Amino acid sequence: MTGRRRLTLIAVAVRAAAAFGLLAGMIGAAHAHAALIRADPADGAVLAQAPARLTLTFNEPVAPLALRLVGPDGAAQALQAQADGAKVTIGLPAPLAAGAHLLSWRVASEDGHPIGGTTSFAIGAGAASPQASPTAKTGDAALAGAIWAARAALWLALLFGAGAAFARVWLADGQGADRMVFGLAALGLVAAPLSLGLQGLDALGLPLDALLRPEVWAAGGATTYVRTALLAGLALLAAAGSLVVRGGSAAGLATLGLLGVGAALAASGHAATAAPRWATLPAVAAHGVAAAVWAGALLVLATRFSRPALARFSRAAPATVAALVLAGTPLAVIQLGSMAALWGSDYGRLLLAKLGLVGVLLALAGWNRFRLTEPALAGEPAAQRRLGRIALAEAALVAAILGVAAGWRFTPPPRTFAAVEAAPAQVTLAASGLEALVTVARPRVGGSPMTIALRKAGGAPLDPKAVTLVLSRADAGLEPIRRDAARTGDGAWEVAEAPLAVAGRWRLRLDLLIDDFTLTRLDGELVVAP
Amino acid sequence: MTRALIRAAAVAALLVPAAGASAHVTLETREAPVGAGYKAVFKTPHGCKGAPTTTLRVKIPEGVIAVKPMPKPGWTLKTVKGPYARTYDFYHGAKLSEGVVEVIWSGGELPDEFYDEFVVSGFLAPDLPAGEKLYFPVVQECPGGAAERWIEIPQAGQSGAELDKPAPGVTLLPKR
Repeated sequence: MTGRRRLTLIAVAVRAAAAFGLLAGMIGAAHAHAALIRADPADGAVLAQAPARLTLTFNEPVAPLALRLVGPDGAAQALQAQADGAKVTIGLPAPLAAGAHLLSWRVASEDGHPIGGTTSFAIGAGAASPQASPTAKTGDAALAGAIWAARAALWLALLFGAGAAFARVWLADGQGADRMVFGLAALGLVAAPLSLGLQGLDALGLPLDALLRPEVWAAGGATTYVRTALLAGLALLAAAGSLVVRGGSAAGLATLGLLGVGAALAASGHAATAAPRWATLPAVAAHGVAAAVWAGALLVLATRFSRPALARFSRAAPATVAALVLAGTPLAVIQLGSMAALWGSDYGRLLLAKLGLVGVLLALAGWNRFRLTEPALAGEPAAQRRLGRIALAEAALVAAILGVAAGWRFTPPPRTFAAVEAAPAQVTLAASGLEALVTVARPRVGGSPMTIALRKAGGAPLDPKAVTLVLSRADAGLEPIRRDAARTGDGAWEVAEAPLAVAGRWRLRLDLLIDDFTLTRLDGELVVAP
Repeated sequence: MTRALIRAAAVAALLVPAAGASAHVTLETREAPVGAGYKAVFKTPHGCKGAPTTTLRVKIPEGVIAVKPMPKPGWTLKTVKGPYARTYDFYHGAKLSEGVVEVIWSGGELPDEFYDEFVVSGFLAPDLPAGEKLYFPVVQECPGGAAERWIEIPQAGQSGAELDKPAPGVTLLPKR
């Protein structure tokens, strides 16, 4: 190797090393995440007057990605922000209602990596604005109307469509009502996915025009309602399929569609999730199947009267009504919790309205059964015509009853309030041989003190250096909320006010700093009532 | 020599983005064979939420023996010694049953906008489990009692990507 050549090589080596060092340094610096240094108003602040804006100060320039404000009524709205380097200024809407507000923020660091958190502030009761965010309310009403309509349409399609497909095989030897069943199945197959998307909007607190955003559908897909939508779709496909095939397979598919109605109704909703579930789950399914049999038979009788069909239906009708009542009564009792809730709550009033309609329905059915069935079977054309008209009126009443029942979507059953009023919630978390008992004084929307009792699995005392509570509701678009717990006198820990601003299932995490170098996480769930 | 340089540059190009992709306190060398010396370089790109770092403490995990930290100008270097969980064989038939369990650089000042590296040399005991990851929990302390703790260790089945403050780790390779 010549001297000159060696020199060149050394130069290359030096340059490579310099470039390497520069690169390593640059990347190390460029990939540091941003961190929130200060929020103004500060996290957890209680203010006499509503602030006009909220500023977040980071340790490096950031780009705002998503900002959502959740008010004391749980209504959420997206906000716009202006970033000036490391400072993000968020204009707050006016007027802001008194109570606790959460601002969930998500920003991109310089390295493009998103970070997020939730900061809370409360406006004192003395500073209550005269009108509490009327705009949010109207937005909600439109969405609520859409949710109700989609749900009522799905139930209508499900009960009448699958019911008629079954009644057609059962009463009319697999003839007729084709267009009606196909039409109802098509309605249901549109309403099922639509109501899932609306469910997603509701979970994220977004207005109707955000329906096409992918995160809305992901949120809808994360709710238990996805099971109902799927099963309803399958039931309707089976019902429609029973019109295409013949004989035994038609009967099989029609029965499958009918059972699918029960499965779809039992797959989600507050009646099917009430305790004891071994009783409520089959009761909801049986109630749905009986209602579908009745609704479908009415449709078939009204549109395609035949004497054998009427004879078969009138034999089975009492059993169908009995099943409806037997399955429905215990559900109503469980959901109400008390007699007073029947007129004292929205849920109870909807139930009264439904029972009133059911009363009229039963009167019409009785008239049909005891006054018209015999002459109609004997071949009197006048009685047959009237019977068909009354069956149609009954079907219309069933549709109205479904509309009322769909309204339950918006009224949590009184039993949930009763449970909440009665006792604070307790959540037990355990991992790595450690146990925590978290007591939530008021597990309701609006925030609650929490106390945390810690011990080792054997019962030995546990004295960590620090305890941090992390609350999150990713499905509601809320970034994690962190609160450092304070030590109380008796060896327990407490968080003065955990801002539980929206109802539903929260993820609750405790980070226990056992010693300087050891962190243990305990995970659990907390249900917050509306 | 040219070929060796090219190879080194290629390796560096591969390693650097991988190391840089993480935003936390990390180890520069992410893989090391057991039964050999290991130079742990703690890359420190963060302060405590804008505040400067004044103390850096590193917990030496069990199985890392014969530890010697590298002094840094402007920082006071201390070690905490303690017994190992068992006795380890070292070079020349030496038996080690105690040694450094914690390294502390204090009294310095690393502003949030700057980057620095802290170095510890040690020996990975030959019977450490190859294929697993060995974690060095690190605590950054800042004025006023603030601290950033890079001490979270993923549990079995956890990827570690979802941890907020993961401890830096090195993947153990079989003995060469």
